[in-house]
Amino acid sequence: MNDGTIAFGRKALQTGSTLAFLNLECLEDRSKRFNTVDALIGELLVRCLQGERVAELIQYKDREHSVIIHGLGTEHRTFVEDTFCLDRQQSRGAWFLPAEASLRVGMINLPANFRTYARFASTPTWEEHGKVSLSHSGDALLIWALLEPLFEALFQPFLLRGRLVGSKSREDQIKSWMGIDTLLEALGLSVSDELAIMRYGGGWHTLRSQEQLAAKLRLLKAFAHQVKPAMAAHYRAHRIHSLLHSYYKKAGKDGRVKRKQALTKSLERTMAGYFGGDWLAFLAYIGEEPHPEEQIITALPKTRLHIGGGGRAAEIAAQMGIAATEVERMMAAYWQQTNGVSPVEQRVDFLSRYWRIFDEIHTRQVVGMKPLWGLIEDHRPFDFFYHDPNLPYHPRLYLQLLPTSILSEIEHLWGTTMLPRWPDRMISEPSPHMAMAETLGPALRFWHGCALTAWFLCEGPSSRTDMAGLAEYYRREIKALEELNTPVDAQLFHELVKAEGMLGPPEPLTQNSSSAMTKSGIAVTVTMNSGVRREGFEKLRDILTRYRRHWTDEYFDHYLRMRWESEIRETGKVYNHLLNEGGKAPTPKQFAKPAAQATNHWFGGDLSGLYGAIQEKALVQPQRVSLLPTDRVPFAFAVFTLLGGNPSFRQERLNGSQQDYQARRHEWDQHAQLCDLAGLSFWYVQLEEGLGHAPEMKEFGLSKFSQLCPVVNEDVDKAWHIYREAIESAKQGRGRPQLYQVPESSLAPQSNRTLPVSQQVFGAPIVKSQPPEQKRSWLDRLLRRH
Amino acid sequence: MIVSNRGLPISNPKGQAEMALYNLLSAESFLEYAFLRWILSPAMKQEIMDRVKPQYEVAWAGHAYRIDYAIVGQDHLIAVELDGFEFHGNRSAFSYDRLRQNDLHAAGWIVVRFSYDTIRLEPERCIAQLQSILKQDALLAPLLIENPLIEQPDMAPDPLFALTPAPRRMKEMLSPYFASIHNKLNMKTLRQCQIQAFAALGNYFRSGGTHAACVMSVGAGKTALGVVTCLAFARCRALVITPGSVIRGTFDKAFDHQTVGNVLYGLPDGPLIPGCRPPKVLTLDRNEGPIRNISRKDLLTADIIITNFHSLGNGEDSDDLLAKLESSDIDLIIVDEAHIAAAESYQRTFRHFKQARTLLMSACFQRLDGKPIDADVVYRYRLIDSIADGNAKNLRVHRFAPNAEQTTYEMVWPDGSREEIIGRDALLEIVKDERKLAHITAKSDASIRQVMYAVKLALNLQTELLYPVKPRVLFSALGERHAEQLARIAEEQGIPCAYLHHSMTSARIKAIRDRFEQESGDLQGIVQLKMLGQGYDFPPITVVVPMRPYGSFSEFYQFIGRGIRVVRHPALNGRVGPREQFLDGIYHAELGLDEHIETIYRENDMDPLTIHEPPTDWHILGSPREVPGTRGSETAARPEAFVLFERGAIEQRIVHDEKRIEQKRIEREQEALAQRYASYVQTTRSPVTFDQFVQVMRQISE
Repeated sequence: MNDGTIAFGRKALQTGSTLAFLNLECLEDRSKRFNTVDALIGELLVRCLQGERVAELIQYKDREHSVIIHGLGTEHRTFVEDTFCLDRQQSRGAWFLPAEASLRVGMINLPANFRTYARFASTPTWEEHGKVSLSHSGDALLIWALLEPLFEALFQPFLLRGRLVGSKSREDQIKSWMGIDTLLEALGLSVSDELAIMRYGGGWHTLRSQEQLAAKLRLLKAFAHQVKPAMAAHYRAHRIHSLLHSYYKKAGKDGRVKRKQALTKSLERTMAGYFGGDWLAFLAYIGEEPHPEEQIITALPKTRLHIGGGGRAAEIAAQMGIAATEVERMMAAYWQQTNGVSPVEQRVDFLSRYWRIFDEIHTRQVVGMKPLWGLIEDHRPFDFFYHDPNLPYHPRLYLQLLPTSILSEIEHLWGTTMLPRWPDRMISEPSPHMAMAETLGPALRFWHGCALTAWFLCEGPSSRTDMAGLAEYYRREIKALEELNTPVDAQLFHELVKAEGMLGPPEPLTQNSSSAMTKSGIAVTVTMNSGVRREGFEKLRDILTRYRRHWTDEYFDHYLRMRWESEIRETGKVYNHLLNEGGKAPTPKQFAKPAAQATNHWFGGDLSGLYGAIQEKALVQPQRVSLLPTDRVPFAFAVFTLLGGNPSFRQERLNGSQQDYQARRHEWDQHAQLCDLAGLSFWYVQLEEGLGHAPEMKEFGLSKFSQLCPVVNEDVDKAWHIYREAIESAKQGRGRPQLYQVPESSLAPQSNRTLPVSQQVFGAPIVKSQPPEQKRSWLDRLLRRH
Repeated sequence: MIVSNRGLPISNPKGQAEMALYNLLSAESFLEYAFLRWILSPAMKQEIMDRVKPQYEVAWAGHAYRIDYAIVGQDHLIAVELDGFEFHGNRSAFSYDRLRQNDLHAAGWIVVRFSYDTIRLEPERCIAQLQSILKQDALLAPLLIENPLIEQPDMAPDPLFALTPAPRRMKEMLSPYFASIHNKLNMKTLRQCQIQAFAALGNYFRSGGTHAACVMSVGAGKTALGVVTCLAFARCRALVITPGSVIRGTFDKAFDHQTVGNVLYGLPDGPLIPGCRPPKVLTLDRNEGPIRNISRKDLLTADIIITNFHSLGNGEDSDDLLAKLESSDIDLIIVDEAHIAAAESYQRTFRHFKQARTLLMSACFQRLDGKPIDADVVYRYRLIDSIADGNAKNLRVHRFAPNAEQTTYEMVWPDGSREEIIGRDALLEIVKDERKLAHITAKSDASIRQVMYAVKLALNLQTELLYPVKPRVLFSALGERHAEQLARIAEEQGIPCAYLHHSMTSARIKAIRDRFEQESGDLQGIVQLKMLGQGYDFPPITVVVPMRPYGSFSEFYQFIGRGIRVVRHPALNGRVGPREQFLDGIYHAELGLDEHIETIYRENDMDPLTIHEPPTDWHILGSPREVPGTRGSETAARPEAFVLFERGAIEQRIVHDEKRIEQKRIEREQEALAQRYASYVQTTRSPVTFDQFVQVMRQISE
């Protein structure tokens, strides 16, 4: 205050108890604004401690979870929606609130769980948690801001004698118990007898499990017995006191401090919970003036996109009375390109052309050809010693099926990437084709996946799903397409199911068959079947083609627009959020992480292009750094062989004499590790491009390398030296055996290869030997389980 | 003799190389070369060579002049003067050249002048004129060529080529950047006064002058002149010296090719250097770390170094800038606000880079110490000229004088007792010092409120006139407490106001300036001590309030000039032209500023435009403007008791609603477009203007 009187906030800070705090508040007539929230929290506190299930986390398989608080009256429900709606809080300047939060809803229901599950209460209590969007309802924000902190603190004894056992040092435990005492005192709960046995050094370990359960129940009973609605006001005083402490610690002599300086993460919850996120309301409450440089943003600006309009150059030139070439030149300069077509327009144009080729390849697929698994690159690791042309998966099949010009364009448009650590550099993308596929997004995954399912269902050996399960199997992609307003016609699935019923009978696929004549003259034939096939692939293919083309005609242009627009607009929103919260433009490093996806999908890793699209000044002009050889896979293969990998290992073992299982397993593991190291050579080179020097082991990732390096050398340093040497040699073009150059020969651009796709490729022998690879879970990928 | 198209000798028909006259005489610039090549050589025989003295020095009446070519005959001394530029305007009244020519006449020289354009367009006539003068001398007459072979000179139409070194001197252009840029300036983007000043400078430097000054009114665009001078005349490296961080910031922005309104690419009529990359500019700024961290290598990588004179040091400390640069490292020095150029650090710099040419720029015709600027003033552009040309607002002065006999003062004696004193004279008898009286007035709430009321009225009028541009007001104060006091009373009058003080952090100062300067900002007024008192140009400032006495006229004039630049905004086109715009200078009669105001009028040949009438309700008690605390004793002595904000004002100040947020976004968008425009400009020699670029880009993104 500037009038010489002491501000309420300062006086409140000096109070020694929550009661004194509340008395002072009443005296200065500052408590009215909290009447409703105190009543609400008081009611919930009582209901919870008396064993009622107050909140519920509703978990969904495919979408964000949500929460609901049960049993709120109309007045409280209205209050919650008005006060705790995220949009409302943000309109009062609370942009610091997270968009989503992991909520431990189970903690609120702990007494109810004990009542229902007794000794098994812990499990449902701990498990009822999940990430929830705070924008869905006021309930989520209310739980995040007030209920979760309240009950986590109140039930801390249960945590310390439950889930946290053994995880805290003596000092930490004593500190935690002091915190518990402070809170209980603030609330006016007197449970020292019940707590005595649970305290650090109280003899908890001497109790049998039944006795421990009884002790916990005793404590809950005491809570239930003593709880009163008025305790909510005391809890509020406790929380606001902490906020005042932080405020005045940072404030100047004039009692002013900027919100960002005063609020810690935990205090942001208090601000949202008791002041609706309104900093000015808080200042009015404590009687202080805002800092003169405070800025309270009530809304984010709408991101305006500048993407191109290359086709309108002539029209605009005519309107402005300028030569069309001059407009072209302006646009070229704007995008730092040689012509006026923006990076997004270039990619959209390419993806349209690519889609037609993709469509034609699937349309022409007939029985007798190779399966198209491999046409789209996915996240499979390299297997340099695992060549089997008879497998249904053909790594980098696109190299054989796509025209050279298309391959070159993919290399040009997606061959560079930005890693958020180095927003000032465009480094090499190890898998441009995969980056392109990710840019094209769920439509590609869906239509390609459906076509593969149709193939493997008919031509075997087996399929990941049947047609009845197709919609469920691709539910994520279908949902994503719906969200972009480009839905798949549900009739497709009906027609496919119907057509599946008309496929031919299953025919076993023979992998191996051998006959032997016994001494008694009886001939024995042993046949190994690896799956089944059914006649009628073309029927399924034609249905898919019809629907795919219909979808393309109706939605594809809109789909592409939605793809780039949603990604770039979302990035623009994040930019504005960072700008407003930080009070100045985010640095390129701050912006790079949220911008990485849009930058790499639509701007080839050039962050300045994204800045241009959202019409913000580019704070960085990325430079292209290129150290990765253009023939990427042969390069990694060379690393594999230079490290001692044997490309013929699998064939030799299959054809060779039987070996001891352990020795064979050891050898397989070694080659798998060498494959991993070879795959990581891309990361090594990316680091080198980003850092500007060859990475040290620490920069590469010590734990990552030390797990794999024993296959090279037991000594980590020596192994690192060998690894580096191998990569450097591979970069020079050494270590590329002839064997691998055959399947990868198509890496080199081939002249004269144009559509239609070569009949030679389509005429390749049918493969019916191995089951197709299922989509692997993250756990499988982690454990390298195929 | 057969010559190539560029006029270089190749061979005679016999294949023997023969040196022509123009190859035997030295030429510094291309203009001199052109004179030798296309005028003298065809006009005179080779034997005249011994009679022609290039760069001939003449001393007369205490002045030393250098003649481009002196031709010494038996009875006559002929001075050939070459002009790169011609003045086509009617404001060449003050010209260094005129004085120089008069002196040469007095010394007995026949002066013959040829300009770049006359040599290029009328060589035959030039040759005839030269011959007609030379044949008057008995010794020279036989050396005339009777039927001269006249060629069409191979000279570019742009007179900028006059400044290009002669072909044999090209190697002296040490910096590839300046070699590539100096004749590619798009002079059409400059204002007439800037072109005239530039031309005067060109003629001065080309004729051997080294220490030039341009006195130009505030608002005439001295910064742009400084930039174009660097680009045109620097051969190796230019040093721009400013008196403080604000002006340094102005130059920094002028050279920052990616900001809105920069001089390189962002002038209203188009880029200054289309098709060219920007120079490498090193601004020595404390925000970028201490200057001692800058190495000599860093300095030498720059084409242009911008610094303030505090950084120069005395050359004795190895961390000083002067200690890191050798004499030959800088060949052009630009000094802004040169009325303080008497400072020893400036003089030391001139001595250190003794080969460098210098340009002193100022709006004042005298230094802070009252002496004239110590350099050859090659161009002068007065405030009245600036107003006439539409570069400056009209000056409208509001002088408010209370009834001195009825003013009530309250004297607080050392023992705490208070005494009311009626009338100025009675008080003066006690304090014995008019300056003290001025200070008392300046710090009195009552006086400030009266002035502030007039400020509010002026702002209201300006708001109506300039809508949608928000008019701003700039105050000057005596000290920090006084500044606080002024800001508080401005707030009382509904003028959102803050103050700047040098003790604030750079970030705080920047934040306050942003709030003042950005259209989305909330401040309408700033109280400053000296920080923005000179070199700070912000056209929306339409009211200036010197709320303190000024001893130095220069300092006062500088302060007034902060608001003189006209507002240019698309919404004002056709509605409020430069001549309809006014700068309101509001001051209290007791501050002793009358003499300074008179000096401004006198030096600029301006008709006084001073309003002496106070607002009608100036003395009406009980009017809505009356607020508590109107006694003289309630001064800035107890700033802790001030209430700076009322509730309603706070919301307006710090809560950014959608309109302000959108305004901020538009400002950022402009910055982004300026950056992209800089890329575009470098790709073409005839780019569209920034405004057109913005229009095109907006249409594309619609």
